[in-house]
This record gives sequence, C-alpha cells and structure tokens, in this order.
Amino acid sequence: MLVFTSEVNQNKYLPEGGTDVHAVVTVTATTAEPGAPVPSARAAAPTAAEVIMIDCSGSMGGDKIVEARRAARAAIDTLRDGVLFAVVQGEHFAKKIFPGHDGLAVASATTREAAKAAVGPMRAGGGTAIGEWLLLTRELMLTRPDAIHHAILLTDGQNGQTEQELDRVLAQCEGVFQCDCRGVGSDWQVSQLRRIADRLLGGVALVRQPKEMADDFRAVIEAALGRGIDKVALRVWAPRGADLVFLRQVFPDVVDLTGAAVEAGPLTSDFPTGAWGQDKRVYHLCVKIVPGAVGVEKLAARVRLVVGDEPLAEAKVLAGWTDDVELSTRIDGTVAHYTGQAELASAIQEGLEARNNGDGQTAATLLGKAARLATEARDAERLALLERVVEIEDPVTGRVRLRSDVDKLDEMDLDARSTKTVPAPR
Amino acid sequence: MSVYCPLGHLSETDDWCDQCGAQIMVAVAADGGNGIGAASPGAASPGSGGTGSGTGGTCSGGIGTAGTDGGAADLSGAAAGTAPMPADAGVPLPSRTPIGWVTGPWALSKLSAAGHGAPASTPPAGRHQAAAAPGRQEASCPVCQTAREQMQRFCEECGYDYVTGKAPPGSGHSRRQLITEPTPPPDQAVEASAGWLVEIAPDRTYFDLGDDGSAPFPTDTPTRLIVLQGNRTLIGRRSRSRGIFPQIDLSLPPEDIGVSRSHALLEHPPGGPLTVTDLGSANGTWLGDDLRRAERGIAVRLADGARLYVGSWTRITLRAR
Repeated sequence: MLVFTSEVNQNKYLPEGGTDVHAVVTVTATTAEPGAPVPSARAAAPTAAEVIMIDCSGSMGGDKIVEARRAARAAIDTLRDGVLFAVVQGEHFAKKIFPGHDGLAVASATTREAAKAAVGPMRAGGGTAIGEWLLLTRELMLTRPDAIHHAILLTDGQNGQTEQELDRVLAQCEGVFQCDCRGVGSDWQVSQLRRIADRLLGGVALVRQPKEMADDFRAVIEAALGRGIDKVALRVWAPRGADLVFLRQVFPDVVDLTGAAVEAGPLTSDFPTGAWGQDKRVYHLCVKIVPGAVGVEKLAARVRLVVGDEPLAEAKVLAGWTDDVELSTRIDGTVAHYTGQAELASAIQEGLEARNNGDGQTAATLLGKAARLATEARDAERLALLERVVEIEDPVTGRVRLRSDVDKLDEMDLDARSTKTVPAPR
Repeated sequence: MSVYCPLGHLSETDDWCDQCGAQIMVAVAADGGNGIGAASPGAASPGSGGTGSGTGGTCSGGIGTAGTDGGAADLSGAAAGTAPMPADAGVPLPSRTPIGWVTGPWALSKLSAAGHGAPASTPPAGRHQAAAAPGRQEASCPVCQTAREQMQRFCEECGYDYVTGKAPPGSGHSRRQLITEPTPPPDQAVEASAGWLVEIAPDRTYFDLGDDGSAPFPTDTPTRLIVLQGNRTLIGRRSRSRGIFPQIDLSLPPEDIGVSRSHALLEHPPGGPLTVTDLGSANGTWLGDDLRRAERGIAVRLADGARLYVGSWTRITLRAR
C-alpha cells in the first residue's frame, strides 16, 4: 500500500505588480508502515497487464534478433504468477505470437514456458510500422480494462509510417497503456521514440549492446509490475484570471505536461501521470496570476495528486507581494536547480540537432551551456557522456570544442538520456 | 462544506478561496445560521463613494476602489455570529487589515476628495433586515425569477444577493441613479502635469446601464494602473493579425469585448493638456459620469480625475501625478 506525501519549494514573495509564481512540488510515494490504516478504495491491488513488442523487421537480422529473443524470454521470466501478458511480433504489420487464443494469457509456470517456446521461431524480415504494433497492443489491453497496463517496445529502426499516422495511433493509445521504448543499434531516431514514450508516459533508452537487452527488459518490467495505483492525475487549481504558464515533470526526467491538460472544472485541470509505484516525482509549475497589493497573500495554485476524485496528496503554492526587494529577488534553490535541469535537457537536444545540421557554432554554444549546467548540478555522469561528444575546455564558463570523431552510439546515448535529471541537492 | 471567502465567493475549500485564492481566516459557513446577515461585502459599502464600485452584489472588494471597510465588517459580523445588522448601523470595525484584494495606492479619503464627493446612497436599514432572513432559502431569484444555482450567493442573472436580500442596482424602482460628478470644465484642467496615471477598473453601474446579457460582469478584478509614457497612448484590444498593440490593452483578462480594437487615443504631450479622441469605436467613448458621448475624431480635453467609460464595463480614470 502506497502512502503519498508532498512538499513545495518556492519563494512565494513577488515584487509589487509581480505576476509569475514558480514552484517545485515533490511528490513521494512510499510503502506504508505495517499497521497503518488502509484506505478501502485502494485496498485490492489491481492486476498488471504486460505486452512485449519485439521488432522483427529485416534489419534485426543476425545478433540483434538472437538477443531480442533472449530479452523477450528474460522479460517473460520476470512476470510473476497472475500477471496478464502477451508477446507481439512487429513488422510492417503486427502479429500476436503468444498466447494462441484471444486476449491475454495469465502468467504461470506453464504459460511462461509456452510463451518462451513461441518466441523461439521469431525471424527477422519485413518492415517497421510501429503504429500497427501499438494498435494491436491497445486492443489486447482493452480486453482487460481493470488492469494496470504497461508495454515495452523494442526496435532498431525508424518507423516506416508517416508522422500523422503515428500521431493518430498515439492519440488512440493515450490513457490506455503506458509504454517504455528501447532502441537497439544506431539506426533508430531518438526523437521519434521519445515522442511515443512521452505520449504514453514511458521512458526511452538506448541498448548499446544486444546482450544488454535481457537485463534491461527485466528491470523495466520489474519497475512496471511494482506500480500499485493506476490512472493517477495531477490536478492543478489556479484562481480566477490566472494562467498556468507551464507544468513539467522535472524528476526523474523532464516531460512537459502543459499540453496534456484535461479540463476538470472551470479553474481546474488534470494532467495524467500514469501508474505509481514507490516513486519520487518532481513537478515544476509556473502560474501567472493577477497581482495583489503589497502585504496581500493569496493561493496561487493548489496541486493535488488524485485517482478519480480521491486525493492522494496536496500541495499549496502561495504568492505574497512585498516591497522588500531582498525577499522578492531571492530565488529558491530547488526551483533554480530544476530550471537548470530542464534547460540542460533542451540544450543537449538542440545542440545535437544543430551539430547534425552542420551548424558547429550553435552546437558548441548549446553543448557548452549543457556542460556548464551539468557542472553546476555536479552531474558527473552527464559530464562523462558530454565528454565523448565535445571536449570540455572550461566547464565553468561552458567553453567546449566539438569532437570530430564521435561514435554515433555515444551521441544517441547522450540524446536519449538528455531528459534524465538529478535530484536537487539537499 | 462551503464557506464564504473575504471577497464573498462561495468556496468549497476553507483555507484558501477556491475562486480567487484569498485566504479564509474565519470560515463563514454558507449554510449555517443568519450570521452573515447584512454585514457582508455587498451591503457594507460605507466608503464607496463614486460610481458604484461598491454597489453591485458581486464581490465589491475585488473591484478595488472601495469596500475596504466593508470587507472588514464582513469578517467581524461573521466572527461574532451576529444577527443581520447593516454595516452602517455601527458595527465596530476591527483594525485588522482586510485581505485578498487590491486597491489603488490612494487612501479612501483621498479618493473621494479626488472628485467623487457624493456619499453612497445607503439603502434604509429596515429593508436589509426585512429581506435578509428569508433570502438564503430561496430557490429562485425574487427579482428576475432565474433559478438559483447550487445555492450560489448571488443571482447569476441580475446579481441579487440571496444572503442580504439586496436587490441589484438598476433593477426595478430601486434603481440607483448614476452619481453625477461631472468632469471639471476644461479651463480647470491641469496644464503642466508631471505625468498621468491611468486607473482601469470594471464599473458595475455603467455595466448595468448597457447590459444586454452578451458579456458577464467580471468579478475579482483588481484595478489596473498604467503610467502614461510618451506622447500618445492607444486604448483598444490587441490584435496580432491587424498589428494593433494598444498600450492600454483591454483584451487582457477579463477581456472587455465591447471595446474596439483601436478604440480611442489619449494624447498627452509633456507639459501639455491631456485629450482623448474617439477613433470611430463601435460602442463609443463616454465622458464623465453623465456619459456624454465623445464625438468621433474630436479631441476632448480631460482634467485630473476625469473618467471615461468604454466597452461593456471598463471605467478609465485619469489622474495627474
């Protein structure tokens, strides 16, 4: 049973006439202490449904398909008894290779063995129509609407469909299941998979070596099965006359949620966050509100984590107007940290794009900014990734030189992991 | 449980108002007792001189120029749980600063000295008391017969206050006259002012005169202040497609759609007089509280304290700095 707590970091003080309120809301879900009262509505943990989508297009031949089969088998072994599952083989069409009957199989020693046997004959051949795979997965998920739905998608190539086709499919799948995406090799496009993962509330990662696939799949599925509450939304209220300028998740990765708002009332919007396990997620929001007089204090936003209409956690974002410049110019450390992390993500993405477009100047500026921000956040892992694409001459000012011999995989790794963030220092 | 916030909004949350965000220090149950009575913002408008900023039932404090005392009286009356009692009958006003709304930088006394000397026409106390008690239970508005929505405090249609039983201004025979405090004649105009300050606020009385139901009256709107800069200032509504970017932009929320894109021009050369010219607006530019229509294309000189009315509800007051 999960217990949710929330925390707000902000400087509530605004100068006279100030309108923009920034706040960082941290929501933590932890397993309740034994003996704690259990809210009845969430007492029974729902079943999990897992669909494994494996790219079997022609380019997957050789090592990749062998490792993909192994990864699929590892994933199947991770499914505990009672979990609903299916395996989908993806080409220019989608084919369910397990179970043989309609709908989803129920995991047990027998079905796991049968599924692993069914994965054996998977061969590479055909095209890549990711939209078709997603549609089949959606159909399978809809046979059990009561479950927590998660899918994992493995591909090595670019989608052969048009953007519009994929968009239409994503719109249909949104809210039905969550999907983590994994790219193997260097022929897939990070931005394309990120688009799928963002819409379907999942993550993107590069599997550098085919043999890493099995471990990665196991980890992804373990995380997905650990989630106990589904269809959780962030419900944001702002006063009359106020505008939500943006809402983005800033930890564990950067996802802009602003466009995902679903109206929940005249002054309230819901932002889907999918299923929650033992999680810590951090949100940064900015609200533009009607200014008050000096000395006035108002509620600028009320942020609730809800399932249906049941609140799990609540955070209040305040605004107070002051003529004390010292108070109003202070920037909250946590807000500053996550602002930097979001800037870092876009600096890397835009920097790499500029680099690929041959605009070395812009690329060096942006990747230099990324190096500076990563240094400020003491993010050694990120600096190591950056170091493989640029030579960091001065991390403090962000002076870098582009490397000429960059491994494509290093570049994709940097891109795929650009949205991962580090928590604010305490 | 619903409660009233200091601005008179019905709020589901009892810590901060779920409408305007004002802090609720004393929870006034929306469904309990007669405690609210007439000492509520709508009725308590001892300081609200001028054109109706404290008159309409809807959240007078939010409009900004007046009603400060009214808000405080609301809290005191509510906290004490007194029977209905008009605020002008001597409810002791606590010294506590009212919270949650915006007023101009001037003290109330200065406001009235600046040209709206006429006192608020306070309705007889007896009417309050008679109307207050039965008011809360009504299912439809006794003035316009509109069905009451979810025990809202004010009638959605005409602004009738169910709690105080106070009829909206401009309804029936209780219609309130516009207080005519004409713009001083041009010869009294301030010739060499150091600059001009514009105060923009929704005006309930003006709105009620022309209300055709096409736009709701905005509540909880603070007074906007703009310092005039340069020689000219355009009043209008921003239009990116037509390249109109007025300095006084009335498309900002709450947008007054009765204002033309390019509505009127204020001219204020340094050291010179301030004039306004209607630029052929659809709904006109109205001068002073007796609402004389400014003729299209003709510059009219304005004095310190002059008031313009444009659109559905916007009152623009000009002040020399």
